[in-house]
Formats: sequence, structure tokens, C-alpha cells
Amino acid sequence: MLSYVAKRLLLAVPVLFGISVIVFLIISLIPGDPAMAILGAYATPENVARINRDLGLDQPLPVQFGTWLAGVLQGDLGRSYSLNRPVVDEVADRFGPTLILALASLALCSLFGVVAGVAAAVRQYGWTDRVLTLLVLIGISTPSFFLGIMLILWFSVGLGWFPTGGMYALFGGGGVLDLLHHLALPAVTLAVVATGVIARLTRLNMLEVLRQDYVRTARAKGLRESAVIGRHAFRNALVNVIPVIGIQAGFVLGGAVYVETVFQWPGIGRMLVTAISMRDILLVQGGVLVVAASFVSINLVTDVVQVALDPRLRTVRR
Amino acid sequence: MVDVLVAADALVRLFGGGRTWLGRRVPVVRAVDGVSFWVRHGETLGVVGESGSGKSTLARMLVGLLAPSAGHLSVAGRPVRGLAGVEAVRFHRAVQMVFQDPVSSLNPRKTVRQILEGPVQVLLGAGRAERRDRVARILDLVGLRPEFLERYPHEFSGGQAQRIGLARALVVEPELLVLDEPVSALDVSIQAQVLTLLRDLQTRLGLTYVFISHDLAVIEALCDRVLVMRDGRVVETGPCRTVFRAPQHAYTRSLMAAVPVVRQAIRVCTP
Amino acid sequence: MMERPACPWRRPSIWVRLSRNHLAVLGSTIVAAIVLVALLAPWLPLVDPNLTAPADRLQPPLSPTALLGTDQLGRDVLSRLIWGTRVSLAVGLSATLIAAVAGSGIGLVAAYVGGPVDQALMRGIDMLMAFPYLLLALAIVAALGPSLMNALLAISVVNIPFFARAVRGATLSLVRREFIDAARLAGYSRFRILTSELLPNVMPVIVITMSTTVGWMILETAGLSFLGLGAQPPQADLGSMLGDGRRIVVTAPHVAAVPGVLILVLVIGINLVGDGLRDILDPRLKAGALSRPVARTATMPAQRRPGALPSTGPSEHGSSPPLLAMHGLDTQFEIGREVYRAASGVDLTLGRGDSLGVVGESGSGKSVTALSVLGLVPTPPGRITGGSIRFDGTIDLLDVPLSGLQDLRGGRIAYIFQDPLTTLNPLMPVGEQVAETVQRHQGLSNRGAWAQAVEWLDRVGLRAPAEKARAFPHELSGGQRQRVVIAMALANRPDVLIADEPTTALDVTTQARILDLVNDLRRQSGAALLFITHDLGVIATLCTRVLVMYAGQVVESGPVAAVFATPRHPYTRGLLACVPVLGQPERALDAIPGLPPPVNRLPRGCAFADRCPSVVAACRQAPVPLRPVGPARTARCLRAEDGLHG
Repeated sequence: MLSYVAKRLLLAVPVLFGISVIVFLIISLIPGDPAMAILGAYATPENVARINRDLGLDQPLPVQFGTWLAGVLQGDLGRSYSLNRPVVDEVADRFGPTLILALASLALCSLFGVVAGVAAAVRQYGWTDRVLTLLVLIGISTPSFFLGIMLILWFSVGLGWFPTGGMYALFGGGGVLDLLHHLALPAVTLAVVATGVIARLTRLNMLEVLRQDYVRTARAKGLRESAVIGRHAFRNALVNVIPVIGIQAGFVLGGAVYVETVFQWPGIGRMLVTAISMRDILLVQGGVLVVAASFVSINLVTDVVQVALDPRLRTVRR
Repeated sequence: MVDVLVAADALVRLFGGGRTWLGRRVPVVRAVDGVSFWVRHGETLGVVGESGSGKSTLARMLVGLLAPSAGHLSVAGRPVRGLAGVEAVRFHRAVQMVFQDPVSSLNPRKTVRQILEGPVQVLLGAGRAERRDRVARILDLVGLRPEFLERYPHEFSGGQAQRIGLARALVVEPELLVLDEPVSALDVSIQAQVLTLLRDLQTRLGLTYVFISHDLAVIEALCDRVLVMRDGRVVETGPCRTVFRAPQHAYTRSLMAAVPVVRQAIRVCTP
Repeated sequence: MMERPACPWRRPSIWVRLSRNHLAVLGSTIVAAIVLVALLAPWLPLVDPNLTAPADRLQPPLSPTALLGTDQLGRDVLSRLIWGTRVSLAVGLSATLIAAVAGSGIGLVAAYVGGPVDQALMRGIDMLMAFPYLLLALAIVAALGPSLMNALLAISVVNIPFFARAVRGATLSLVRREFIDAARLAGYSRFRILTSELLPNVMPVIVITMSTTVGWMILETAGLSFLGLGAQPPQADLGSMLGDGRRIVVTAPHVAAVPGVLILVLVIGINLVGDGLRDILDPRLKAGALSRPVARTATMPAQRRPGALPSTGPSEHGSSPPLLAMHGLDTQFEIGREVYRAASGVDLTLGRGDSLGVVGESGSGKSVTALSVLGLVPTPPGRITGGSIRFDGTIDLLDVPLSGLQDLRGGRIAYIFQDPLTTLNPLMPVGEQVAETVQRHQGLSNRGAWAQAVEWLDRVGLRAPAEKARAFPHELSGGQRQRVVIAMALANRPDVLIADEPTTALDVTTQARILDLVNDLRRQSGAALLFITHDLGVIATLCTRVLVMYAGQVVESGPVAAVFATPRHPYTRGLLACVPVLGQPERALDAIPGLPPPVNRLPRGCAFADRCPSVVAACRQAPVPLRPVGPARTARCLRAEDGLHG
């Protein structure tokens, strides 16, 4: 098991490298003069000279990449010209809120998705199944940016139960309770689609597992239904659901962009939107790189959990 | 030996080996390990063995689906090696195969006519009229009704599907037919139908068979000579009659002892 | 395994089947209506969507001049909505098409060519997948600059991996299929195999992926526009309308709500259609196959079930009733409007210490009969509609409450199933799986149950049982696994052991050892054996009595030696004649002509009539009863006695 974790960590290195290549190549997609594009309105001759020196933009592409990667490895993501501060500092400030939001909704969608999926499968064709299937359908079809607006309208503006945005109250805020109060609506908004997807796939996997021969064997042994479903079916279904949760982490991290924008959450998503409209390419690069890396880490965790649950994967991969 | 159709000399087929892109070594499996034999025109060679004995790998080498890792294989005096272009076409005109799973061996999205006409068109370059003619004849030969031509594979039972597979192999009039467990997926009564058909076709068309099976009784019923394989090697070979009457190798004996036989048991049971 | 006969049937076309799915019809109606209105936009009496009228701004819906009100610049919301839908639909569909073509191409080529090409392509796809979905799109838009075309491009790129992965997976499973080998033997070029053999077969996967992703793509392009990175003013799509409306949502909620609701409804419609298509095209979901079998086969209650026992009580057998007495069992599969009579009117008795073999071909109903005993026939679609199964002279197993049945299952009546790999739970050590049944029926502690499990593993001949008990099923060989299954079945010393083709998946030498083991252990424990197989040889070595089944009915029964020596039913005779026998190569194989009748279209008279060499007119006129034809023998044939001379 430990050696598997080590190998899996090692395998993440080429992935991270690939990510950095793609993130770097974004600059080369820019039509026209990259220095001008990166600087946009801040394109003073002084800045242009500086960026050409920093990134080696007059060099061939592989050399540019080397320069850039060396910088990244030393924690230098360049300088945000729109904010006039190093990208690393800005990203570091923004990363925490995004992580809190993403993990909270990942927890919500895993919990509710799996519970709903199992409930629907166990009561297939019953009214529980029908209602859940309908809810799931609406859930996966909901644009989270629209849902967020509507939730603000009802729960914040209308009922006044939750704040309309932000992470902490402006005056006298702070503390975990205040955070949770602010977190509730955005986390739910962000979790809705993923909950639907997880519920749907959990149901499908449960149904598939319940048809397997070993479930019949469990019944032929005289086990009660609770044991058949809990001990035999659920674990086997979960093995296939875990990677789905990993994939959903990607959607949650991406969807955070909308939710942060709607709820004024001070995370990387909102930073990215601003940076794009400012054409602050280096800030975009830094943000994307960090979020992608955290996605890779989440997938690492789900992979390890899956292998821990499934002995077949341990031996097959050797 | 003028009438030898297939000659195999020290055939070897390895799987694995080399390294993955991460540099890990992949273990080598010797699926077929130094197998030599020959098949005369018009005879049936049986290949028997349990799972993992390498008999299917051997079959796939015989028809050119797999290249031997070492050794020499020739069919009708021509070496089978790196077939391409005209040579491949000529080879496949002479050598065809019937597969184990009758359903998986037919493309579910093609009609029986498309399945049967394809090889005629590609291998024989036949025009429309000749294709229709050949397909009609072959369908009759394997005992299927002409109206089946416009149907899709899922509409057939296992036995019928296997007849279609047989028709596809025979439609180009090959000399050698390699049959890889052609009846093991079928029920006994259907299996008997297909075996009877195979015997009948051999007499009528003068075909040469290499018949692969795990079922000793089926091999004995159909074959002239037999090759007993285990772990990629031939442990015993000879005329069926001799091998099954007086098996020399301990493995052959244990295989034979393991077969539950109707008549033997009756002899024991009958008071 | 559920036995179903191979019967020729024609699938109705996709459209017919889709039209039977009410939700899919609802979805297509929604989508069609929206698309139609969007297409007709230039001809509808609409105000110019970009015409501003500051005087009329923020009119509420249902105001006289604007049906859905106006926005903050006084533009007509309805007009903008319809024109915006056009844009959103066009962008979403184009993105889907681009992603589908590019992704499917990559997937097909990667899977078919394999090797380094596959590695290179799929590593690239992995890299794209390593990005959180939307983030990569954002990065692309960031570089290219905000515009609708760039948003379209970005959304297409981030969706390529979904197509590439799905198509590659589907193609890989096809490449190993034998029809691809057959195509190579037919001399087809690689290109032709790709286009004529593979592509048509992966088309359903492509269509499914398109139908599931098109909804997202519309959502995501709307999302980019919402963030101001897609459609640029004055052009509007649904997302940018929503984005505009967000700022004034408190004062004029309709400006944001109207496009939002439309996106929601449109995507729900698309997803409904997509689900319908997937149900039809995905082989896993075909024909409602993904329905979960319930804890027990649906059984008609005793009051309504023909042949049910009046109530529990002493049976007619007096002092020593048989252990298991099945009378007139009817089990059927109800699929759609078709009723497959898998077992009809099956009688079977099993005394203490008996060993009864049930033989038949696939579709003969032998497994269904065995599974019916403890209600293990999958429901849906299985249903027991008639008969009785009396256990130990007193109770009818068909009427026992579920908890009572569960007490018997694995306790006094135990099963051994066919494929030892699939019958064991892959995630649980085998010892635990044996211990589980011990604990369930003997109420031992964890420790005691484990000790018993190890002991049984030892008794079934597993070497190093304490160590093997901790192994997972995949770490054992087929023979070892089947030994575990046998240990599991015998661990509670059952009175009845039901073995359903326990050696079919094994090699001959392994099979012989397992049969010996079953036989020995059964003799030691004194359990009665019900052995289901298609192999007459196995019956001959293991059983004292035999039951021959055909098309769901018992056609002959009696002592094995007598039945095999002088079969009375022409089917039994035919079956014996068509098995090749080792040591008798000269024996002609007398094949039975034709096929068994499909059990959803059973003839009125004898089911074997069409294949029978000695059929007479009377055979077809009325059902043929099973009748005594000798000492302890029965046969379902009008001419059972004639056979003696034939």
C-alpha cells in the first residue's frame, strides 16, 4: 500500500509537468505581440523591457519554457501588472477561500450524492426512486450561476437568512460560525450539479452490482437484505463511485469560478475572471496552475482511497 | 512429402517482454514454446489442451493473425511471414478460420449478406453477380435458408450463427480451415449438428482441418491425428486411434481419466 | 445466469423505441419547441433585440408593450431571449460537433493503432483531463481574448477528452472481438476495418456522449458569456442576458430569471432526450436490463396460485416424507408483453441422501427450477406463478415469509453456483465469506466463525487454509475458488445441496477433482444433492436418478442407469446419441435436427414434436402428460413404449 502511494506520487510528476507545459503554452496562443498582450494597458516601455527580460520572450519557445519553469519551481510566477504585486502573493491569498469552498461542496455532493444514489437503487421504481431521479435530472441541468442568483434572491434578499456575499461579515465578523454562515449558500450552489452526477452514477453502479452473481451468493447464504446491500453491494459500488467523485472535484473547482463571482467569494475563481478581463495573462497562468495542481492532488487521494478499497488493483498493478 | 499442406517447425510465440514506458520490465510469457508438426492435404489434425496450453495462440499463428516469435511455418509450400499486399490476399484465400464465440465473431451491424460477400469481394475480387451466386451456394451448403441473408446476427441462435461463421470461412473456398473451439459454446444437440456438418463438408470439398478443442471426445470423433498440448509445448502426438487407445504421456492419461463418460458409467451402474 | 432461448426477433427501430419512452418524448417536445421558435426568429413579429428605449426600461413582464418586460436599457426581453437562444443553441451544437469529431477520431485511432500512438494520444488527453473542466476553457479564452467564437473553441477543446476516452474504451473492447479478426482474414485494409467494422459499432457511444455533453456545453458557453467572456455586447446569448440581469436582480428579477429558466428548461429537455437515447443505445441498459433483482422471486400468493398447498401440515407421504417435493412449479419471465415460460409444471422429489441430476440444454429451465427452490430467480423479470415446493414434509417454500426463507438459505439448503470468480465477492477475503455464513446460521463469535471457516477450507482440500482464508478471490485459481464456494455451501451442514453447473467453467482435470470432492463430502455429510448440468457424463458419474428437461418441462425421469440404457423419450435418446464418447470414434453422431421452440411461443402439444423422428398427429393436438413408463420412471411421450423397439 505504501509503495503504491509512493508510485502514485511519482506518477503525478509527469502529469504536473504536462500541466505546466499546457499552462505555459497559453502564452503562445496569444495573437500578436505577447508582451503587449500581457501588459495590456500597463505596456509602458519600461514594463515591456522588463517582461521581455523576465520571460525571455525574444528566445525560442523551449528556452522560454525553461526560464519560466525554473521560475515556477522557485516560486516565481511573474508579476501581475494589473495589481502591481507578485502573482505568487496574490494566488496565495486567494487559494485558501477557494479550497474551503471546493472542499465543502465536495463533501456535500459526495455525501448527498451517494446517499441519494443508494436510496434510489434500493427502492428502484418506487416513489423514492422517482422523486430522486427527477431531482437529479433538475440538479444536473441547473446552471450554477443562475441557481446562485436565485438563492441570493430568496434566502438572502427575501428571507434574510444568509448574507448576500463575501466570506466574512465586514464589521465584527470572523470566526468559524461566521464563515459557515457565509459558506452555506455558495457551497450548496456549487454542490448541486455534482450531487446529481454522483447520485446518478451511484444508482447505476448499485443497480449493476445488485445484479452480480456474488449478491445472489450473499442472498443464497441467507444474509438479511441489510447485510446484502451494506456489506456486499455498497462496497463494490463505492469502488466505482470514488473515481467519479475525483472527476467531480474538477467540476467543482471549475464551477467555483461562477459561484465565487456570484457570491463575491474572495477566491481564485473571481480573481481569474477579473484577470482575464484585465488581460493579466501571468495572473491567469498562476491561478490556473495552482488550481490544476490541487485537482491533481485531490485525484491522488481518490486513487489511493480506491486502491485501499479494492484489493484487485493492488496486485494487478504490481 | 508432396502432400503436406502445413509444416510448422519449432514455432515459438512470446508475449510481454520489453519494458513499459515507465521502464518497468514486463514478464515474458511463452505461450507457444517450440511446437513442430505437419498437416497433410485432406486430413484433420486435432489440437487438444486445457486453458493456457497455447492452443489458441497456435491457431492464430496458423492463420496469420499473429506472427511467430521464432520458428518456421509454411502453408502450401509458401512461408508464412510478414504477409502483405498480394501475398496476404493469396494466403487468406487458402487459409481461413472459424472462431469460438459464434456471436462475437459476427459484426452486429452487418447483415449476413454483407458478412459473407465481404471476403469474396476483397479476396477474390468478384463482381456482384458472382458474389451473389457464391453466397447463395455456400448458404445452402451450410444448411441455412436464403431468407437469412438480409438478417442481422442477433436474430440467430448460437448454432445458426456458427453456421454463418463457417459459411464466411468457406465462401472463398480455402484449402485449410483452422477451427478454434468451434463447438464449445454450443449445446450438445447443436454441437452434434455442427460436427456432422463439418465431417460432411470435408468429404464434399476435400478440406484440410486443424481442429482445436479442449474436449477429447470431440477431437477423437473428428480427427485423424492429434497434438496434445500443455503449457505451450506438445506433450504427445500421433494418430488419434493410437494416442487415445494407449496414451504414452502421463498428462494425456490424466486428461483422459478426468473425462466423465456416459457409457463407462452405465457399464458400472447397470446391474 | 438467466436462461433465455435464442429466438429470432427483430428490434423495433430506435425512433419507435424512443417514442415509447414518455420522458424522452417530453424532452424532445421541449427541445423541438425551443429550437423551432429559435429557427423562426427572423420571421416572428419581434422588436429589434438591440433596440434600446431608455424611457421604457425595466418594464415588468406582461406589460402591454413587452410580454416579458424590458431590461435596464429598455430592450425587449422576449425578443432578446429568442435571438439569444439562437446564439446559445448554435454555439452549443457547434461545440458538440467539433468535440465529437475530434475526440472520436482520436479515440478510434488510439485504440485501433495501439502501441506508442495510443500512449502518446492518451497521455495528451490525460493532460487535458488533469485540468478542472472549466479552468482550461478560461485559460484558452484568457489567451485568445473574450469573444463568442473563442468561447466556442475553448468549450470544444475541453470536451474532446470525454469523447476520446469513451470512444477509445468502446473501440478497445471491440478490437478484441473476433469479428475484427475475421475482417482481417477477409483481407480488409486497416482503413476499411476502421470505417466499416469499428465505426458503426462505436456510433452508439458517440451519440450517447454527444447527447450527454451537449447540455453541458450549452451550460458552459452560457457560463462564459455570463462571466462576460463569451458573447460581447450588443450581441446577446442566454448567458450574457443572465449576466446583465444579475446586477439588477433585486429590483427587476425577471431580467435574470427569464433567460435562467429558459436555460434550465432547455437543458432539462436535452438531458431527457439524452437519457432516453442512452437507455436504448447503451448495451448495459438495453431492454431494462439494469433492474435490480429483489430479495426474493415474486411469487403469486397461495390463494391465487394454482397447485399451491392448502396450508402447512403433515403431507400425504405419511411417516417419511421426501426432503424436497416440488409439484407443478411454474416460473416465468415477463419481459415487456412477452411471457417466457422458463419452467412449466416441473415435478421433482428429493429424498434424504438422494443424488438427483437435472440435465438439459440452455433454455431448458434447469437452472430456473433450481433457483426457484429458494426464491433466487431474479425478479424482475422472474415470477413464480404456480405449484408448490414442500420442504421436509411440512412447509411450502413458496409461502414461507422472507425471514424464514433466509433462515433456510445457506442453512438447511445451500447452493453452489457456476462461475466461482463471479460468485465470490471480489472485495472480501474468502475466509470472511465462509465465516459470514457460519456466523449467520450458527450464531458464533467472529473468532469462532473464522476458525470454522479455516477448518472447512482445510476440509475442501485447500493447502495452507489459514493463509488462503485471508486471500482475495482474484488471488486464487479457478479450482481453488470453487473449493471455497463448496466450503461455503457445506459449512452449515445442509440437508440439501443444490449445485448449478459447478464445474462448467473449469478445465477437465480440475473438474474431475471438484466432482470427486463434492461427491465425497456429500456422502460424509449425508446431504441430498440436486445437481444441475448439461453434461450427461457428469450425471452418470455422480447421480443415482436423473431428470431430463426440455423447453421448461420435465420430459423424462428415472434411475440414471435405466434412463441412459433405455431412454423412453425421443429427446433423451437423441441427446445420448449426439454426445461424442471417448473411445468410440466410429460411432455416428446422430444430431437432433432443428432448434428448441422459444419458450415464449410454446406449441400446444409436445414441445419436441418438430424435431422428433417418430412424431404422430396426436402429439401436436394436446399437451402430453408426464406418465409412468416403468419402475420409478416417467416420460412425457405418447409413444414412450414404441421407443423400446426403435
